[in-house]
Amino acid sequence: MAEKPDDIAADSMRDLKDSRYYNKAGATRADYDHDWQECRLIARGSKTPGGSSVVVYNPAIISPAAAAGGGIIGAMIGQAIVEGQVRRANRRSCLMFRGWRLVEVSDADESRFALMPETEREALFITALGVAEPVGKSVTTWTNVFAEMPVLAAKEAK
Amino acid sequence: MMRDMLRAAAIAAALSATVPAAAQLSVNKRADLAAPVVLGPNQGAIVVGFRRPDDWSAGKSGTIAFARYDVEKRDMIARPDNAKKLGDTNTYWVSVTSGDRKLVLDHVVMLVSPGDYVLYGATPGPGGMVANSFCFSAPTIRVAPGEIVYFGDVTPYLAARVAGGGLHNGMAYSAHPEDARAALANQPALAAAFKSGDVRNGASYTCSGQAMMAYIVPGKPSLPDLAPDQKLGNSPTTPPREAGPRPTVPILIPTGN
Repeated sequence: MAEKPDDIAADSMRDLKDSRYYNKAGATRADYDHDWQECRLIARGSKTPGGSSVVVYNPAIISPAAAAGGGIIGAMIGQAIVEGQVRRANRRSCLMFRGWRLVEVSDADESRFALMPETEREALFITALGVAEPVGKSVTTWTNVFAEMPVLAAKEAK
Repeated sequence: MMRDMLRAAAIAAALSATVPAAAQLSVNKRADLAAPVVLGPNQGAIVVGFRRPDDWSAGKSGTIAFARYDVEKRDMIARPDNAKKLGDTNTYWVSVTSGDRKLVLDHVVMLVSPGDYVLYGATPGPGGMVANSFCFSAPTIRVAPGEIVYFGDVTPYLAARVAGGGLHNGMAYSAHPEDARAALANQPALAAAFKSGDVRNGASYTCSGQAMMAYIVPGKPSLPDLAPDQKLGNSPTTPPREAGPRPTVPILIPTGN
C-alpha cells in the first residue's frame, strides 16, 4: 500500500538530525522527500541473483572481511548489528549517489540547535536542504572511490 | 542381455533429459588454462584479471560476481526457480574468485552462456563471496557466442593506508587487454576469439545484498538513456519499480550475432 505524503515527510525528517542533514543545491523539501522515500524502498530489497529469497539483513552472514570490502558504506555496515542500521546505511548510500551531500554541523551549531524549539530547528534544516554551499564540520559527497585507483601511502616494512 | 542394454539406454535417456548437457546456470569455477579449453556450441567466456601492482594489494584476494542482465528492461534476470527442470542452459550468476594471492597478475577465464552481464558486486578479502551489490549503477558487458570477452582487471585493497590519511577498501578497476590476451598464448582457440569488452556503465537493477553501492568504470560510456515509457515503473503495463521480490520469468537470450 502506498504511503501518504505526510507519513513520508514525518519519516524522512528522522534523517534531518540536530548533528547532520542532507543537502543538494537548489533542492526543496519535496525533492528530499521523494528521494528519501525511493531510497527507503530500494534499501528494503531482497532478492538473490539465483531467484530465491535470502535473509538480506542477517548480520550473521556479514563477515568482518566481507563487510570491510564494501568500502566506506561497507565499513559502516560492518558495524551495523541490526536490520534497521543496515537499511539506514543503504538509504544513505542511495541518497548520496543521487547527489545529496551529508553535512555534519559544527559542535557549536549542534549545541545551539539542541536548545532550539523543535519546530524552529526543523524549519532551519528544511531551509538548509537546498543551500548551495553548506558549511559544517564536514560535507561528504559520493565518490567513485571503490572503483578508482587510490593514491596510497608508502607501506612501511615490518 | 538385450533387455539389460535397453534398460541402461532408457536410464541414460531419462538422465540426459533431466540434466542438461551444458547446464551452466551458476558458474563458479575458472577454466583450467593448463589444458586445452574448448567452447561449447552456445558458449562464450568472460576474462577478468586480478592485478596486484603494489605492496597494499600484494597478497590480497578478492571476488567479483556478474549476473545476467536485461539491458532493455534495465534489471537483472533472475534464475527461474525451475531452471534445471526446464533444461535452461543460460548462465545467471558468475562468481570469479582470485587464485594464488602471491601472483602479481592472475587471469581468470569463466565459460558462460552468451548474453549481457552486469557487475553485481566485488569484495576484497578472503571468503570467496561478494557482500555488496552495485545496484545503483554498475558496468555491463556483452558476450556473444564464441567470444572471449575481457572485462578488465581488478585490484583488491583492504585497509590500505591512503596518502592523505585514512584507510581504503576497494576493488580498483584498470584495463590491460594486451596482458589478458598474452595470458591466453597457450590457448590459440581462445586467443583467436579474444576481444576487449565493450564496457558500459550505468546499469541499475533491483537491489539485494548487504551493502548497496555504485561502481563506475572510469572513462567508459554509460548505457543510453531509456525513453520515459521504457523505464520500469513508467510503462502503463508495468507496475512501479519497488525493491523486493520480483516474479521470475525466463527470458530467452539471442543466440545469433
